[in-house]
Amino acid sequence: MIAKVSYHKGYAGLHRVTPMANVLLLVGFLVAVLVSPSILVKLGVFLLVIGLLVISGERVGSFLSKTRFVLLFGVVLFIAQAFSIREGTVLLSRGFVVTDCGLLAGAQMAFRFLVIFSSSILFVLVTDPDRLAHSIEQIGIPYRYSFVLVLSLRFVPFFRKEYRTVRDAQQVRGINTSIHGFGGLLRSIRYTLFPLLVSGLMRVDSIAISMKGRCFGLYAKRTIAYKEHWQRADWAVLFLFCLLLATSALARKYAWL
Amino acid sequence: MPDRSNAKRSLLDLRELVLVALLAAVGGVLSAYIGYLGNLINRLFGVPFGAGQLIAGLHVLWLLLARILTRRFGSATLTGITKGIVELLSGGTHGVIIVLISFVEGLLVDVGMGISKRLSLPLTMVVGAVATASNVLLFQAIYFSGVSMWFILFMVTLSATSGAFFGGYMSWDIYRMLVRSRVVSSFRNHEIGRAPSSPKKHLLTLGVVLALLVCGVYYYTAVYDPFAAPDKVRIEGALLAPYTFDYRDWHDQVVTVTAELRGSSTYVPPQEYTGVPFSIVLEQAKPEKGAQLVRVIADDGYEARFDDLSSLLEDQKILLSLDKGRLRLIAVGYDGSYWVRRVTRVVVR
Repeated sequence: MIAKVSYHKGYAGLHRVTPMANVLLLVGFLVAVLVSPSILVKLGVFLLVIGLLVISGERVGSFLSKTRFVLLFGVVLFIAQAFSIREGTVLLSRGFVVTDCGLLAGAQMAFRFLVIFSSSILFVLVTDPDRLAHSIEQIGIPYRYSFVLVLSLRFVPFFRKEYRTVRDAQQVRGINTSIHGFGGLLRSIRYTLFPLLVSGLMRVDSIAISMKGRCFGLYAKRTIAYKEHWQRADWAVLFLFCLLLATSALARKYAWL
Repeated sequence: MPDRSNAKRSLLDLRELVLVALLAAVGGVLSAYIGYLGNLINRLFGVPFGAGQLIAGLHVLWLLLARILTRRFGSATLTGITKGIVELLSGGTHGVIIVLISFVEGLLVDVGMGISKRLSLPLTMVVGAVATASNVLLFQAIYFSGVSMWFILFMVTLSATSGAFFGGYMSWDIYRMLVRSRVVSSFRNHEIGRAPSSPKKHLLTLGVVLALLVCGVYYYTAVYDPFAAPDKVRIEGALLAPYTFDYRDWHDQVVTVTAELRGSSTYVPPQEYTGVPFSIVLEQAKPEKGAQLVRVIADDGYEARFDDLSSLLEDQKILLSLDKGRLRLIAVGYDGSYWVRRVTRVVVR
């Protein structure tokens, strides 16, 4: 299992950047690993992610321990690709065939996975969810829809608490939710999902009426309590984003290794 | 003046927006629980991963519920995007890819459920199956592009079955339970039990949509290569020295031939073509003994098959030519269908 990763307040590196700049950087990482065919570029991007983690005041040791499962899955991806692809020069043939193209494709996929996941973790660690939700409104998305994310994030602690309550209630009542077959699986799902869903749905009307009472949705635009302003660090991130795009395009065009 | 029509212009009303937020939050929070169930199932089957697809339908349950409860196009997509972001920010196990996967699942639920105005169990199950199976295809496109199609097909089947049951049937069951217990009496529940207009027509439409969808996904994930370099060709397969042919490196080998193109519907009168002899390109890759078949493949998946490698190696008139910045096979002496434009791969077998 992957250890829980969540945002915590910080003042260094990407913590100082606006959420939208962090989104931009994440997109840049994705483009770099999905568009560029080069292993060296992927390796470079992975090292960049690690570098940004350090700059942002995160501990690399803790990051690596949290991503042990990811590294393991990266190895699985590598093996799956290496054994599946038969094209290229045969390097090993003992019941199964390993070719240079297979090894190359395996390394490509493993790095792709590693970069996508590590950059996602970096994004989660340095981006304040509330600020992100409010920032979405500032990029032109109607606030009725951007508020769905704000509201959803507000619901998360409530449902986490409810989930614990439901599990505790199951234990107190001696309900066996361990999985020993399909029946056990169904029982576990039924006794966990239904109570959670019903307790949430019971609150929909009261929340909607409360919002309506505050005239939510009356105006096309609403005032923003905290407006995000681009600082020097955001421009640096934008530069990094452009650099990632340019490197990917060049790697594609000139077929870098 | 306040814009009082703002709410009316909106796709979803306030209560529906709250419902979408709530379902996205439950979906996001419970993804960890579903992951935990997946791990238990993997342990049950004694495999490191994969068996968890048996309950993949639970991820789509919330999207289907949003669509069923609101009956509005877009509600499942909005739930999907929000659920994906909540899952990402909660430190989910898939990284940012989950946002894309949840978005596609939501979109498929919206499109699928939009086929019929009447809510029916078969439709809900089919939509659940298709939406859930899409996650396997997306993962395949991103991480498992070289893995056997049979394995992918097996995973798609597993995932679709889970989607039909845990997504489709369960959302239907939960909806009925919620209506009976009057928890959702204020939502649009009046349509349940309404007489069907034409089930055969809907099934036929659904079949066509599904077929188009499957073909589209297959084409864009397994065939089409939008990022292929325009003036390079990968020479691969049964070769001792596979390599990437770059037209600019071969300018000293360029020759000119005169040829006419005779196709079943196209005719181009004799004219001069300049390019690198295809035989030299193949020789450079050192084909293995016993190799016979040569496939010349374009970026859109079109291909021409030459059954006799030895005759290609002897033929000096077949060229790889640069035509409007893209490589083209000038197959002198062959039918027009062998003159492949936008060549990106040559596979020798």
